Amino acid sequence: MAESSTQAVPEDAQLLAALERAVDEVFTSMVCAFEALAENGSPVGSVTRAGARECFDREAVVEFRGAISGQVVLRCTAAGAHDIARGLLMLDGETALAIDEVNDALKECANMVTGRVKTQVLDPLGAFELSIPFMQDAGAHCDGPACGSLIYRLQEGLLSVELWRRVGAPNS
Amino acid sequence: MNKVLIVDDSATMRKIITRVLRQAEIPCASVVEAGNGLEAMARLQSDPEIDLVLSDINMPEMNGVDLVKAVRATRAKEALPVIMVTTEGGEAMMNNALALGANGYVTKPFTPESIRAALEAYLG
Repeated sequence: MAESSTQAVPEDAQLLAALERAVDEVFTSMVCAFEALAENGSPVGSVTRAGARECFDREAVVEFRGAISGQVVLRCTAAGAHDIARGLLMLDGETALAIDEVNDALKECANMVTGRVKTQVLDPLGAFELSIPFMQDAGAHCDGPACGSLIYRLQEGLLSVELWRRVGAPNS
Repeated sequence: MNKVLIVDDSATMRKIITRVLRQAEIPCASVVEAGNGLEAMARLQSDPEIDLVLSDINMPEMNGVDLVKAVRATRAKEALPVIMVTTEGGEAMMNNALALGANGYVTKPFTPESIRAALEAYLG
């Protein structure tokens, strides 16, 4: 149960700004080079590379629960997921990675981004719980509205970072 | 030389911390790992040579805060330092961990320098 707080629940724009800061902090210090491409765009099919559509088929999720509830979702192309894993593990581009290693790296990345968002904008609202990060089927998002998405190009592949608010949750 | 126990449910993070310990030239002879608090307690009971614990907080089975409580039931802060390495950077969470017996904490994302700063008082 969340503790009560007099602090106003943040608007979607504030949550998205915190998400952007969190991605900057995590990727700059521990992951890999990235370039912001769009805000609140449609990631699927919005960017083509070498004439081919890229499929965002890897999703790592961390749920947050408190005065507001929802999910932070990191969606990647396969190439993007490998880029994140190599960056986190400080490996060169030639090193082969098992799918479990790639998924674990993506989950840890989602965990760090969500942790930063929690510290910046959720903790002042009262007690929040974060889930253990997990992989989910592509497109199986939270049953609420998207607060926003941030789309990035990595050295290889693309990344969409999204924040979803759960419908029916307190103060949603 | 020192033996460090890294406790994190992410194998990726355990590898990163191991690499950072080496990059930061922190004097530890060996690193052992556990995937949650329960595994860490088993490892601590079977390996009395462990000198320091670096632990995540948000883990399945037994989280890092409960691990600190369990460790402090038998080992003092001076006898076995426990440093939290976690995304849970909120002041309330950190104060709770410190009150229960954690020696310090590092928030993720971290740098080799922040890990070194947290550990250098404990690893000689």
